[in-house]
Amino acid sequence: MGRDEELKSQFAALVQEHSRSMYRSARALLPGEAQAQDAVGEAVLLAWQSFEKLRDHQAAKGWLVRITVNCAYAQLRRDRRLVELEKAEKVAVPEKEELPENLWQAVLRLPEEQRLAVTLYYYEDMPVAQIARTLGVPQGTIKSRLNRGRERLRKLLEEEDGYGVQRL
Amino acid sequence: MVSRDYEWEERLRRRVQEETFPLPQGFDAFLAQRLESLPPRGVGRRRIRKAVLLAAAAVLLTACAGAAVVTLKQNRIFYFDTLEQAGQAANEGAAAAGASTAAVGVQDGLPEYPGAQEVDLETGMSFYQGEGEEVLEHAYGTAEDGWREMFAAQTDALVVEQYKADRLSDLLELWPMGVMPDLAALEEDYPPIPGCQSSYSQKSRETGNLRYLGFYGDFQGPGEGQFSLDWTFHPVGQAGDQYVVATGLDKVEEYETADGAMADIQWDTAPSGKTVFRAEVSYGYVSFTMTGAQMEAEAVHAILDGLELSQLKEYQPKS
Repeated sequence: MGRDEELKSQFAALVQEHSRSMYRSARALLPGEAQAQDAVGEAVLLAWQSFEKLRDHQAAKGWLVRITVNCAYAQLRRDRRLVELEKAEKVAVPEKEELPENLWQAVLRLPEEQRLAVTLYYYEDMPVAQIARTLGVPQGTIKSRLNRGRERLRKLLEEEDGYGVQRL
Repeated sequence: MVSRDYEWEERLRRRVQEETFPLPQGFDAFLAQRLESLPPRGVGRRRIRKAVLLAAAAVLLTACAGAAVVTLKQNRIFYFDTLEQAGQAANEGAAAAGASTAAVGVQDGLPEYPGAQEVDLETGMSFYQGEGEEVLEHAYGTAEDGWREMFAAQTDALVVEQYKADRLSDLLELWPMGVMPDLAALEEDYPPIPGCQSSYSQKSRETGNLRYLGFYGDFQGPGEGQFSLDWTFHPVGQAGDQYVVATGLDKVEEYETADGAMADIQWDTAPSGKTVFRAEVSYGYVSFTMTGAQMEAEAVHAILDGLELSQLKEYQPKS
């Protein structure tokens, strides 16, 4: 096996291993599944171009997530200019907001920055310091976003199972 | 005693473990295909992103083609405190304009300005290797041509072309008639970053009609400032006003240029601490965007003043 083939094989294995994390990170920022999948696809190509610079494969998850988040932000910058009103109306003027079907649905209702912090912390099990490095913001900011996100989730979900109106 | 916060933390973590996370149908196959068709390493990064974004923008605008506005007008960004207010105003605005749709969104911060990165056509071409797709031409230009490199490719429905140049003025022949700014004056005042100027077009393979045309350039601004200019012509669908909830921006402003175009400018502090901005001027079938970092408002205004942006309202796509 040539050097390039060997690298490609290693790269593919790492991407496959962390593809869920990449997708979740993108989906936390982008409004739809298709956009999130596109961001992952773009991140795979970008990551491949600089894969040789990744010396520690143990750090691959954070590295891939960081690239994916950057791709998602770049996509968001363009896409957010135009949203079909038809879709936005459902968010903007709901007749009656329905309860989230599951935790992920509730996470998707968080404001963008809280959504990403919560996703990386709870779903990707990344410590605050790593999230701060990944997003390029101070740890205190991440803690604040997590606290607000956690509180918002509690409000979103308490009606679902009665949590929050008990044992206090 | 177990605190409520601790208990909630535990519940959250348990639910993450227990609940199935939904992946889109076909995601694994998509990923496998992407990994199978990785391009050769060693090519630059910038154009990967640009090509994807340009294509995405074209698709988005196509999706808005139903927004029928009778006359061209200057589009604006209107700001609101809540998404509900924005949605209601958008409804009213769309109805007044005779349109079925309008743009509503949340703007809670500007991203980091990425800086100049060289256009990468090799990777751009790698996007046209799927079934029914083909790269038709890949050429390097001469001094006479002006442009440095180009490729043409086709999909089932489209013929696309992308050019790379050292200056936007090298791509004069590709610009729509009558709406081109004085690029020579611009480039004299603000050095274009070589290799970071490009155009991208999509035409219908069946009719030859233009569906999308974009010009993009990175420039050195005054002092430590840098900026990028982006003209996008989208004949298949007019953009309209935008109704936005801006929760995280430092400042928004409207600026009337010397020739009477209204620019909506957003200012923010990026995670790096740098001041970043985004200015937009949009008329029906054409949108102009200026993004950048580390620049004073006066400098941004001066550049906008010199771009003759009001003439963009004259652009009419050929039917």
